[in-house]
Amino acid sequence: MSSITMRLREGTTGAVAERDAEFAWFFRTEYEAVVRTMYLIVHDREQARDIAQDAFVQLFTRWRRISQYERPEAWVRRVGIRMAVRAVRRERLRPRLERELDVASLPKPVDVDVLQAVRRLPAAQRAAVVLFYFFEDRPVSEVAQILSCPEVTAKVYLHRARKRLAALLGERETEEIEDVS
Amino acid sequence: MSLDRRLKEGLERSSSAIEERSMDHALDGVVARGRRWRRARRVAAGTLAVAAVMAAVVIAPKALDAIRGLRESRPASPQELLRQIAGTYTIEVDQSAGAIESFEMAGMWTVSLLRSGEMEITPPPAFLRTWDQPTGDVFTLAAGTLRANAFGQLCADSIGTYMWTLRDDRLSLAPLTEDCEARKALFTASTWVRQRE
Repeated sequence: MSSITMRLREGTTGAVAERDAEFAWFFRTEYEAVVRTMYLIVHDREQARDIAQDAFVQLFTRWRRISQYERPEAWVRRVGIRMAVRAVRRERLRPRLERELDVASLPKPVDVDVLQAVRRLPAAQRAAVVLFYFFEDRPVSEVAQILSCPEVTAKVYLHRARKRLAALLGERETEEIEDVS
Repeated sequence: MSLDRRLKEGLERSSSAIEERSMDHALDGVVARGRRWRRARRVAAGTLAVAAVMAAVVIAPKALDAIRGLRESRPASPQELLRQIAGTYTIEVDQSAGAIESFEMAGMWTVSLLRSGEMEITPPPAFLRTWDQPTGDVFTLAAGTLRANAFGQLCADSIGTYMWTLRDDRLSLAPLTEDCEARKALFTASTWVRQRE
């Protein structure tokens, strides 16, 4: 049993206990999706977990305020994605051989080709693709908001990323990006 | 298969490469780190507050002194000096030899130094029995010096220059240049005491 659960059962009283319980509930609901999103950007399981946890630590320290937001999950994702994009940029400075994806260690049924292709994208394009295709089909406007860039920039990221991915994966670009909003 | 579908399905499948091993473990880690971070922030804020209070206690008096020192070291304007010195003073003149005796000056004198630069002198009755009421007396102030023409009728309109110091409503005058014995006798007989209005 987790210590936070124990503390709650032991009867930590008042508003703090209530806030802790709310945070624990939120964490259980959102954590896995955040870790997966981070993984699709950084392509490293341990690093994805570290980044997700760092983002949740930041959320915990501001939980009283952020929990009042309409969508606290968007806040924690935004924080996590910024960290992930920074991590990818740092990672790209490392020698190429060092940063090749360890395909053998991946469990099935991972789409290795897609992962490898996404990995060749610059950090911002990678984040835009993950947000647009994986993260609950977010509209471009929200992708832009999370990436802290204008909507037109997010569209450019997606356009360039799709072009590159189509070439790498041997797929046809069938249609232009449609905003799902 | 379209590119969009390939990407959507590929990313969805690939995200399963990461399975969270223990949600409770992760939650405990996050909460513990969050609490440590909060504590560190509180300690830092507390340290800053203490430092600010210490700085206020130690530095503020010195800063005030420095400001006061700056104000004091700045030469005062003639208007400021007049404002400082203005008031009604009483001077007790004891009977003694020399000018005091010959001019019959013994007794209580009252001198009003006005902000206009006029000097109103009220002699004791004994003086007025022999001499006229002093009139038309004026004074000017510069940093540290007072010039006055008091007793012009006795001293051929001469002007005397004195160093002046005023502390706690007590005015002291020390002659620098003075030809008039009567004025010197009055100005230096004793410390002038300013009357509270």
